Amino acid sequence: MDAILSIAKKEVMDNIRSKWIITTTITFVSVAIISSLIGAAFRGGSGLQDLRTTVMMMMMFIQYIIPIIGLMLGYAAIVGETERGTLSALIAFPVTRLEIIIGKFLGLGLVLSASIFLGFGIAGIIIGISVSNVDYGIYLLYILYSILLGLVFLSISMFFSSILKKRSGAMGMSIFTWSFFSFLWGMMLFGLMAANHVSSSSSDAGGFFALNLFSPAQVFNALVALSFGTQPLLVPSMGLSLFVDDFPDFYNAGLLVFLMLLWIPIMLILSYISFRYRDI
Amino acid sequence: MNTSDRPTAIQVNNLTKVYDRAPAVNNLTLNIKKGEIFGFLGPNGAGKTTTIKAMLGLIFATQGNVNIYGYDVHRYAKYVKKYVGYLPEKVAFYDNLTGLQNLHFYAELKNVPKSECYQLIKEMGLGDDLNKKVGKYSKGMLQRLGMARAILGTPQILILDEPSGGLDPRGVKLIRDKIKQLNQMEVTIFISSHILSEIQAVCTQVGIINKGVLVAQDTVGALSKNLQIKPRMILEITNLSEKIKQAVHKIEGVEKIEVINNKLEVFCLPESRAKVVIEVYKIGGNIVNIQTEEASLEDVFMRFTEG
Repeated sequence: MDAILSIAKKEVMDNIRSKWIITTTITFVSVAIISSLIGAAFRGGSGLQDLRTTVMMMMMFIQYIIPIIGLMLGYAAIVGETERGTLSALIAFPVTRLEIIIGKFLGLGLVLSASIFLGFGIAGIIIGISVSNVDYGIYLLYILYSILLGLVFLSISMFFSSILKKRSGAMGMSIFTWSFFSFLWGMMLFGLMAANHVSSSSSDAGGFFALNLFSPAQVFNALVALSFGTQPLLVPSMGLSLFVDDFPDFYNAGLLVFLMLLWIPIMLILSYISFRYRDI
Repeated sequence: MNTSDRPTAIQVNNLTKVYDRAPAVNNLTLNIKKGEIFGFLGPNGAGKTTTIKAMLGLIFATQGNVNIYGYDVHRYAKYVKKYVGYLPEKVAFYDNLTGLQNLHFYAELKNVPKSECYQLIKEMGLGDDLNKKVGKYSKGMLQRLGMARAILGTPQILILDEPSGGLDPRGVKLIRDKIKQLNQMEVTIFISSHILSEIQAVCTQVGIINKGVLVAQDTVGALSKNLQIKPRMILEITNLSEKIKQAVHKIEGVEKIEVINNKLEVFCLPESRAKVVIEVYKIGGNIVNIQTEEASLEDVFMRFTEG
């Protein structure tokens, strides 16, 4: 346990010193503020919007930005250290490969969570001061869902970092994964539905909604829609409907959170399995 | 205590590691006793680093295994590594952290008091740079910091891969002195190096690996003796002639002679040296300088790795 905490602490220090936390926090503050302003423009007004509208607008950006940041944070966790030569020194110390995987995930996860929490938190306070209708509870829930989304993609990138021998390969796979889950999966289902003349609101769409759950990005979208209600202007042109009324009965917040959480241990176990007997 | 009576610190048993169907190390067996300074030599690509990686559990053997004080390095990895220090050939640290922060991290992993880090950094001559980011360190500074990391907590076994790489003469001396100091504390030291003089200066035992196979393991003296490599005497003769060369070659105990300009290099046993000098004088040779050299590790190395 001590080794896990030491590795996690090192990751946090490393990312503080490299200014990664500051950069991503500023990114998240900017996204939240810009989303709030755009929300107002969509509604024909001006200035910052209330937090619920801000959340719905943020979804447009966050569903793409958080996965890519999570992936970029983790893709070099193992393979980057292998290439630099620090991993061989680390493994020569009394630390197991499982501790390395867990310690790195904890440290990087903390870095990512802190960036999201600080970034959205600062923006939330700014917006809260400027508008009258403030529901911090809902906003906090959205922050937690966003952190969960980031952690899922972080765990996926750590898996690539464990199985691939080149940093460039891990980065390429991360970018592919991002586009696959953020765009391709939804488009593919949309295409299949069109080919089968099935609409989101029809009773035959249940199978497609079930398939939709294989993408953590799509699960996140559904979770946010389910928790905060759907605003029609945000419904994607490609992909399954985000109208809550179209959702099948088995779509509930508990299941969606569970499915997202499930990604993390699965990816970490796979990372460990591939890293356990790997030559350094 | 006699060396042979000491317990085995590192035991490599029939180690074979195959990469892409080509064996990097082939059926290698080594026994290194506690308190020895073992020099591991071999040409580039001979399998030295592969052997070291197997000792540290960084790679998995195709066949065979490595034990540290009787414990398998994979099965008892965490336990074994408490007692091992390692300086890799390519020394690397976390660039965004300072030298001291880096050492603190490794000290935590080994449960070593952080106060030791400061002391070690100073001993390694990096006292003025301990709060500088490692990314700004020179190669020599990294090597010194790498040595500090390797000896954190005074390990019982120290594995050094090219310890002098990138160091200036002062740095080389610092590391050499540290090796000797640690050895006096009964630390077993395994050194892989291309610098034969370095190995000869500090090592009590030498192993030579060639094409993945251990071709020799003994003291330098014993290896020279077994190979019948004779020490040499170099005579500088102003009027070196064919007659002198022939006469010297016929002397009993002279194995061979070589001529470089006006220098006659005579490979012979020490007891034949006087005879050689007298013979040259008798023939009228004008000797202006005499040098003697013992059989060197370089001679042994060249003999074992030729072909």
